Amino acid sequence: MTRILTIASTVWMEIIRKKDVYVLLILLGTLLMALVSLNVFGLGGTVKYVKDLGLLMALIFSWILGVNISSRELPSEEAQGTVFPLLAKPITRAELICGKWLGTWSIASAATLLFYILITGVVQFKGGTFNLAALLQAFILHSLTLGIICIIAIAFSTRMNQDASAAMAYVVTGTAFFVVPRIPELMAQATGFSANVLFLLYNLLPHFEVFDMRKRLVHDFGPASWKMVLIVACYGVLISLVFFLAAWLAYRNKRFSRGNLM
Amino acid sequence: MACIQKQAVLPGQPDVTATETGNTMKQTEARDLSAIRGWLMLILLGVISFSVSCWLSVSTWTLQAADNRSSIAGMLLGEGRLALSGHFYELADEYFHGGLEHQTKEAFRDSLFQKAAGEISPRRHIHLSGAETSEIIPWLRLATMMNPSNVTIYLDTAYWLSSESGRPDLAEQVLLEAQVRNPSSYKVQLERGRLFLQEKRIKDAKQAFNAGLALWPGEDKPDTFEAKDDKASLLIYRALIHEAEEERQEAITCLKGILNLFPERTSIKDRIKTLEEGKEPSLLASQVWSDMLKKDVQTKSGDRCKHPGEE
Repeated sequence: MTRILTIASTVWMEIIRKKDVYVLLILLGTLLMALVSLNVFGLGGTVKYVKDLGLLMALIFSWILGVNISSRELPSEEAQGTVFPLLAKPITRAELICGKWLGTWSIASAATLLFYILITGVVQFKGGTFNLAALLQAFILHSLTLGIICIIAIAFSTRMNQDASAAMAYVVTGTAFFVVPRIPELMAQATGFSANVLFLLYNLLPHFEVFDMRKRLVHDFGPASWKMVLIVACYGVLISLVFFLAAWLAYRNKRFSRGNLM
Repeated sequence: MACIQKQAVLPGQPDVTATETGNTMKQTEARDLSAIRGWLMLILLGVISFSVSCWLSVSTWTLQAADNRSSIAGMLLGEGRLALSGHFYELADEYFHGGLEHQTKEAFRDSLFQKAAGEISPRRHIHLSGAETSEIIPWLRLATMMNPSNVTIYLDTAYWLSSESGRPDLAEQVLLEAQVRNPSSYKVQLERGRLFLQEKRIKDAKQAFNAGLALWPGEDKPDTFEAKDDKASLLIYRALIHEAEEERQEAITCLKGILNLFPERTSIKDRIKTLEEGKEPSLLASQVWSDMLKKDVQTKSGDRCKHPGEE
């Protein structure tokens, strides 16, 4: 465990040095300010759109952050040759993957927490509020989504370079975000082979819609039942474990060559 | 390079100082070349920037001349803004129904994931009312910003502002903006006229209905039911104002105009007959237009949950 934490802490230091989080935080702040300053025909007291777009931007930015930082960790170790002294130490490859995942997931979640704090501040500035229990649930589920996103990107990066793994991670997670919830609708018009393929995809790909509490927060429906949150959390952990297993299987016998470092 | 040169000249006992001087000269030349290249790049970038700025100015002018695409949204998003406008318009509808999305046909509705998603994001069919309806206005605003030539969105915005939000002053501003963006639309004038009648600003209403009649049919086809019905509305409101101002002959002319469009409307025939006989109609003009305005509001309220293609 200490070794995993050590690897995670080096990931933190590296990402803090690279300033990705600050850039996204500033960008989110700027966009929120632009939203707040939108002239809604001179009508005051409207806040739901700020909540909605703010949470959407937090989701998109954390997604970008999660994929980008996770997909570059292992390839950059290989490209710089630091993977050799790292694996020469008493660290297993599973621990390396776990440490990288813990580092990237925790930093993406911490950044998301900052995003949520910023959004809450802006919403309060506009005269609105969030239900705190619902906000906490939303953050927990959002964080679990990031865990899945990070391990997917790491799984791809075990066998691909940074750009390819990021692209693949975007494709898979993007499909999970935008296409999977629409599959029942698409299947209503599909028949035969295409309907079977869609059904297979529906059951194979992760379902990010079950982690999405934005609507509940925006329309003030109050918190969801903790039992349901727990069930969804278990599903998130299960999906993460599946991708972790895939990542480990792909990485455990990988041979590194100094000639292919670049 | 220096190492290679040294290795090449060592067997022949060369002058080391001369070699070093040569190297220094070459380095200096390389630096000069690099500096020249830098300056050339800078000049090239300047020329490119100037050309792009000229091109952008021309493009902006062309866009302004073409249509409403001169907005920032138009320049940034191109035709994609139309899709975004439609999305924002749908979002406004979704907000009005308490976050309930349009129900489309699905192959199945009871999968484990759908149930879990339903628990996490509940689907409740509610209607916002009163001041709460203001929450839909930002989406309508964004929709009009993305597509200022869509008059329907402006008319809906004005309806919500004047009815549920209780802000007819803002509704008037919206319609004014709609008029500026769509100067040839008679529909904007019809809605302005209705708004003025609600506020009992008869003179302004009269001007708006006159403008609407002058602009009709605008870009619409004159033989469609909607266009003809809109003209009939303009004519009836105008006729009622004539009546209220004791201008019976003008009122009759307007009512006959409606009969030309819809000969089957017997109530119009009766009213013409009453006016021609010099009698007072059973319902005063002001009562009729109040009833009509109420009916218009009820019709729009009834259309709130109707979405073509939905289950």
